This record gives sequence, C-alpha cells and structure tokens, in this order.
Amino acid sequence: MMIYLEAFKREFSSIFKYKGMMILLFIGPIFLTLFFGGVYYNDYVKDIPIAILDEDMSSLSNLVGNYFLTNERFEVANYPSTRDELQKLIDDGEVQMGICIPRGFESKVNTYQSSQILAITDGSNIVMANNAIAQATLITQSISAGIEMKLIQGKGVSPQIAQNMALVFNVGERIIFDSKMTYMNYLIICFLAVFIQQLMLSAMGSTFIRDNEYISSCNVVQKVLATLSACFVGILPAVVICMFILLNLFHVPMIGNIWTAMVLTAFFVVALTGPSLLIASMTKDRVKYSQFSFMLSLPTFVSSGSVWPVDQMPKMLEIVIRAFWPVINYAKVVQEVLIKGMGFKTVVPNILQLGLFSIIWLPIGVICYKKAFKENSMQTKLANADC
Amino acid sequence: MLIKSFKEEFKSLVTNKMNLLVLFVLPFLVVILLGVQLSKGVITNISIAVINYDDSTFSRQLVEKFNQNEAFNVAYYPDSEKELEELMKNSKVKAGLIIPKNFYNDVATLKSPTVLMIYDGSNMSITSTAKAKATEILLTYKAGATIQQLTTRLNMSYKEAYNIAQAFQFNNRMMYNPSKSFENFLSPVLLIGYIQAAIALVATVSVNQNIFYEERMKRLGYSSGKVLFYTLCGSLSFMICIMMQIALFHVPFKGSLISVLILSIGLCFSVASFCVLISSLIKNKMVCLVGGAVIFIPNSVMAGTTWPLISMPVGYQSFARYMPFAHYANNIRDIYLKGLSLGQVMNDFIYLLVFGTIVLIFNELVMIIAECIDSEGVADDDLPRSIQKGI
Repeated sequence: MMIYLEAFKREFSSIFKYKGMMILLFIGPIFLTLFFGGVYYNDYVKDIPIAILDEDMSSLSNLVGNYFLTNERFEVANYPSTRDELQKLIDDGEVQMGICIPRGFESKVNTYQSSQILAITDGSNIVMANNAIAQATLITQSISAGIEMKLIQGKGVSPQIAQNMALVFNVGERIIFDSKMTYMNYLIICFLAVFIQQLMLSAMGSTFIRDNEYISSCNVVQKVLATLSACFVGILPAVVICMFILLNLFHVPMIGNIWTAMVLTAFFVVALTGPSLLIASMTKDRVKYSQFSFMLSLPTFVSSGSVWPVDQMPKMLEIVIRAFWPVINYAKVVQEVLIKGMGFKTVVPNILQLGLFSIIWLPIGVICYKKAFKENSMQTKLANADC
Repeated sequence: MLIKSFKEEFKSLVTNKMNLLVLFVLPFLVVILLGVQLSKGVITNISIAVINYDDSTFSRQLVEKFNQNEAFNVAYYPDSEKELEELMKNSKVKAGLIIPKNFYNDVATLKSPTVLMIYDGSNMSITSTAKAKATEILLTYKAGATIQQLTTRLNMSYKEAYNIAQAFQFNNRMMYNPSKSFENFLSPVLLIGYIQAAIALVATVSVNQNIFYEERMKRLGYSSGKVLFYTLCGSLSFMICIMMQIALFHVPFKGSLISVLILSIGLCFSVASFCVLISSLIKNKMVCLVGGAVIFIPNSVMAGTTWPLISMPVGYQSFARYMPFAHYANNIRDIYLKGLSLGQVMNDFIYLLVFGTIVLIFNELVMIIAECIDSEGVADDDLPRSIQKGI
C-alpha cells in the first residue's frame, strides 16, 4: 500500500511538472467537448433545399406548394419546368428533394380518382433524406386529410361525420428521453466517452514509457495502478466541467444517476490499462505509441454501438470486439444511463464485463510491459558497458 | 534533394513498421471492420412492446402487422404504460404501441380513437427507422379501416372508397441509396476520414530538423520530397482500401476509379503539405503529432459528411469551406453513389492542389522569415521549448 501511495504521489505530481500532461488531462476534454458540441449546436436540419415541379398549376397544387414554401424545414430553391430539369437539379446536388405535382392533379382528386404527389429524394446523405421525407410526409398527410373530409362531405355527409370517417382513428406519437431526437443528445456523450478513452490512453501511455525504469523495476502492478489512479484523478475535474458544459451550454437533458456513470467510468479506465501497457510495451516509444493510440479512436468509436447498434452487428464480430476493447461496455451504456436514467441494476452486466476484461488484460499487459522494458533496460546497460 | 528526401522516407517506411501499420495495415483492418459491422445495411428486428387494452380481432390484426414486418419484433406485452416505460428505460424495447380500450367499437361508431406510438428518442438511428416503418403500417391500416367505413356506411364501391381514402398518395423515390443502407452512407466517408488521419499522423513527424537547417538552400526540395512521398503513399492506401471495400463488401460504386484517384492525390497532397508545415515549424514530435491529430481527426465530423453543413453554426460552415477534407469527402460519396464524373470534381481537385501548393510555399517563407528574425537559426527545441519540456 505504501508503494502504491508513494507511486501515486509521484505520478500525480508529475502531471503538474509536465505541461503536456496538464494539457491532455485538464484542457483536452473541455476543448474537445466544446469543439464537437458546437457542430451539433443546432437541433434540426433546417432550410433543406428543395425544388417544386408544378405541372398542374391549379389552386390545389398551389396550396401544396405553399405548404412547403412556408415550412421552416424547407427552402424552395427552384421551380423547374420539366422532370429532366428537376432530375438535373438533384443530380448536381443543388436540391435535396424534388416535389412533383402531376398534370390533372386537382381534377383527378375532385372527381374521386386517386392521384399522387411524387417526392424524389437524394438518398446519398441519409440524415438529410430522412428529415426531408419525414417532414414532407407530415405536410402531405395534413393536406390529404383535409381533402378526404371534403370529398366525403361531397357525398352528402355532415362535416363532423366526414371528419370522423376521414380520421377513423388517429395516430398519436410520443418520443421520450429525447423528444427532439437531436444529434447532440444522441452522440455527444458517446464522443465524450471516446475523448476520455483517448486522453487516458495518451496520459497513461506517456507515463508508462517515460517512467519505465521506475515502474518496471519492482511492484509493477501497484505502480501501474498508481499511475492509472493519478491520471484518473487528474482528468476528473475536466470531466465534471464537461458535464456542466453539456448540461448548461448544450442543454443535454441528463436525468440519470451520476454515480452510476462514475462507477462505469472508473471500471472503464481500469479496463483501458491492460491495452495501454500492451501498446506501450510493443512500441516503447511515445511518438509511436501516440500514433497507434490515435488510430484507435475511430474504429473503437464505430464499434462501440454509438453509431450502429450492437444488436444489429454480426454476433461473431460483437464477441471479438468485446474480447479486445472495452468501450463497447461503456460509451453507449453511459449515454443511456445519463439520458434515459438507466438503472444501476441494468448496467451491472456491463460493469462485470469491464471487470472481466481488466482481469484478463491487465496481467497480460503487466507481463508484456515487464518483459519489454526489462529487456530494454538490459540492452541499454549493455550498450553503456560496451561504450 | 527531392529524390534524397523521398528515398529517406521510403527507407523509413520499410524500417519503421509503425508507419507501415498506420498507413496501410490499420486502414485495411478498418475496411473489414466497417464492412462486417454494417453488412446488414438496414436496421431490422427492433424490439417493441405492445399494450393492447382492446384485445379485439381488429386490434390483434394490427399487432400482427407489426410482428410480420421485418423491422419489428414484438418482444413484450406489458400490462401498463409504466411497465412499458421501464422496459424502454432499461433498453429492453425501443418502441411501444398502445391500443386504447374499446378501440374497435370506437372505430366502428366513428369516435376517432387514438393509437399511441411511444419511441425511445435516445437512439436516433433505431428510432428514425422505427418511426418510418410504424407510420407506414399504421397509415395503411387506417386507410383500410376508412375504406371499410365508406363502403359499409355510404354503400360506395371499393374503388370509390379507396379513391377517397387515398385522395392522393404521397410516394417517395429515394435515389442513389434506395435501400437507405447505412453501409452505403457511412462506410466510404468513415474510411476516407481514417486514412486522412493516418497520413496526418505519419507526415507530421517526418521532418528531420537537423537536415532541414543544415542544408537551407535545399529545404524546399527536402519538404517537397516528403510531401510527394506521402501524397503517393496516401493515394495508394486510399485506392487499395476503396477497391477492397467495393470488391469485398459490395458497397455500390457508380463512378470511376480514375476520379477517385485524381481526387485522392489532391487530398493527400494538401494534407501532406500541411503536415510537413507543422513538422517543419515544430521540432517536438509529440507536439507535432498532437497538432496533426487535433486538426485532422475531427475533420470527418466537421466536413458535413454525417451532420449536414447547413445545420452547423456559421463559424463551422466557414471553416469547413476551406478545409481540404470538405472538398473531398462529399465528392467521394457522390462518386460512389451518384457516379460523379471527373469533370464534376475538377474544381475541387484544383482547390486541393492550390491549397497544397500555397502551404508548401508558405512553409518555405516562414522558414526564411524565421531565419531573418533569428540569424543563429532555430535552436534545438526553440519554438516548442516550453511545450517540449512539458511533454
């Protein structure tokens, strides 16, 4: 215990000695949170450029056009006169969606012959496309219901009954936890999880390589755990500030239990120590270590379930990911804890998996680290002796 | 000097396994990871819970419609809304359907009851799919019910009733990615963002400042050699990975590989020039590396490849306009999905070339100015002295 405390004191004070460590642990998380959060500051995709091809030129088609024109999500950027022209606008990326109202639209509708409005959407960016389709569907649904009622009334039915027949049942909708379904609430906590991962990896790796003689000399496990604790304690104030920024500046609705999130975070950083030691012992050089660890950010984020749900991945891949990297049990889980208020009991399996990961990878990391840096120091000593 | 510098980098690539790993091996592994992970393309079997307070044949048929749809899997039948919300809170289900009491009777007596859909808004990719599919099912079922009412109450023919219930239809034709596949949408841009980061992480530590200051007259040649080397290596990595992605994982590719190659050369040139500038100005390799990482790794998010540029704050939009990756990423996706021609991407290629050339010249100018200011030359760890000491 004394060795642990002594090593903790040494490594914790070294954070303040090395400005790089201070930047990594104190400024890094805050800067990255502000930087990435700014990208998603606006909730909605607004002003989606669309084009309207009105072949009918009737009062009804004009009404449809006006609905799109006055909707805040759309910006009617063009009124092409032919379908080819509309197609070209979409091909060239000038507009995201084309609304095509065919000739005879109004007369068909009024004479009880079903007609159609066609939306042609550029699907190359699904986010834009989904937003555009969802909004266009809402607009056309409300127009359609109004027309339906008028048509039923035309059959000699009272307005109230016509309305009830047109709306034979209503479809209500409630979105809970994040009613606006924003990218900010969906991604920013997962990003923060990956920032913690990357910055902890960098800070621990730097220390493991820089102080290798001290750490690998004896009582390696205690010294490794002391380094981990020092870095974790070092990064905590910045993480707390990040949470404050998310809550107050970016208005991320965090209703979950902060202590559950903290327990998960603590288990996660312990789980990162094994891989960090392993990379340090393979690279033995801080530049190479950093190159490798930076390259882990994207694949680990993508495979954490933050972008593509874990249950939609092939089972075999999920097993491989769980075996080799711990963030799958952390990033999306901590987001759900904070945004949805997922209970501690639900995250126990994730905590156990993080614990199991540490039990397996920490000894492997320590053994490799000892071996790599003892050999390294032997070689240095021999070289010095030769000199 | 250009050739000497080029050879030096080539030798370093062969001897320094990390460069080889970062530039070629890791991107290749990411191709496999993305290909396998996103192989399903679309989200299916979303767990939903159903509370059926009505329990009539009509309502059970509606539930069955959900069960038959491949997007959904009716996994729970909770007794109350509280229980449903608890299931959602603990991520057991992602959506819920609540059918009210007397649903069928209310429909039959024209009381317009409300069927309620509840979604978990915390996972956008799942919820947007669930919403689209559930709306489709419910509106179809509703149209059927309206037709039934019209035919029985007003003695209309089925066709007439259908034409009223569907006064007009709203049809959508999704171009370029008709299956709304996430793989087609995400994997090309994630991959190219990754390779760009790889180029940045090796090029930012490439300059040997001792040579750089010893042979001042040949400095431009030395920098150009590095830039040329990483332009070629980066382009090669892009081409290998993109071809692997197309061949192994059948990501649709409508354009020509020549367009990809030309544009990749442009991007690699501009990124390599910028990274060599960083490497020339700052001696401390760790600082260079962190600088390169901070500048280039977030590019994939900032270039408007997933969250559109028009929705970002104005400052981000302005910054992205000058960022090389923004002139590359969306074009590459359009080459994949729309089959953009070489002519259509030429302006962006020229921008990338001009950007790279300006940075290369700027690099030389800064060095000359630095020499004028400090005639003794830049000391061993001059510019980043304090930072270097720190790190």
